Amino acid sequence: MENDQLNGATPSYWNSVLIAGIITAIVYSALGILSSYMMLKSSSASQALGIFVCLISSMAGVIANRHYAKEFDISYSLGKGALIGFLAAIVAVIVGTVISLIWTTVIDPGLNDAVYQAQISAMEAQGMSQEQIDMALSFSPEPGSTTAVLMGVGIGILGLGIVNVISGIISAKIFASEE
Amino acid sequence: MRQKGLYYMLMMLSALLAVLAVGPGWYGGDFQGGFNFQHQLFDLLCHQNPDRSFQLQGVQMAVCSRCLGIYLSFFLGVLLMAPLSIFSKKFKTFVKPAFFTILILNFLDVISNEAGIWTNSLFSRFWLGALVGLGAALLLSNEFFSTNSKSENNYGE
Repeated sequence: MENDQLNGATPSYWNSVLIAGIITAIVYSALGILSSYMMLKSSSASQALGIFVCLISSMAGVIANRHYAKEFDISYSLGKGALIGFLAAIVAVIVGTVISLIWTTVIDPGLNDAVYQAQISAMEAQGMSQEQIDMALSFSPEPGSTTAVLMGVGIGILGLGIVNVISGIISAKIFASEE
Repeated sequence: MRQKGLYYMLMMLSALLAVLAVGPGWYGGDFQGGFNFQHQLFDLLCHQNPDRSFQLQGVQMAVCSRCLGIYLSFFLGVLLMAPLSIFSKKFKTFVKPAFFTILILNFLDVISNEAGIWTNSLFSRFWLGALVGLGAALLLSNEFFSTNSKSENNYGE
């Protein structure tokens, strides 16, 4: 392994990280927004869509590593694959948050409130009492608030970060191993 | 054993994912309308459809049954990487194609279920997901426990 280092200069992986992060962010943001509209229409297609997007956010690490390995035709360590996956996840979360913010503040400012109301209706439909609903909502910051955005970014980086470290390691093994 | 640091990191991360994926039910926590930490954490990673998720002590797990299978079996596979590496070494040429076959099987399972060709269940999705996790661990096992190749730390010496 580590052909890149043996040849002297190590090519930068940032291009691959940015490409993978942006692609993943666009895909999961688009599907997320689409899913929100479907949920508001109580469409069963929303659930079907969700089933297809399961684990799609772990693709950031896969795309970044595949692009980096194929672009420069190199092999490198699993650790580097993990780092590339993690960085791609951070880019995906930040770009995804920006896309969501633009959508919910400029394009459709009413979407957050509508989704919030739909969630309350869903809890009522599950038979939760008003007290339980108030308790549940107290754990969630107001949609669109700075706290909600920062919490979303923090939790997103943690969740996507861990999963993409692992998908990065697996991808480095598949695409960048000398075997 | 090679790349000890990376192996222990992988073990810790996979353990963390496995524990969090089970949701708050195992310690008697509340579902909190899906606003609990575990469900928020996996929100971007899994559809968390209640009909497709197991429950523990009456509380929906944080991920669907297929994802639960992936996380639990990957953690188990990481723990068992030493014995898995013997198998992986013996069937070296089959490991990567087998992993891709498992991924395709899962994809076909999703498609055929949605198309109404056949109906999968919580357990069939769990076990198919478990194959993905185990396959991934098997794929990585010879990176950490192979004995017949040079350590990366000694590369070039």
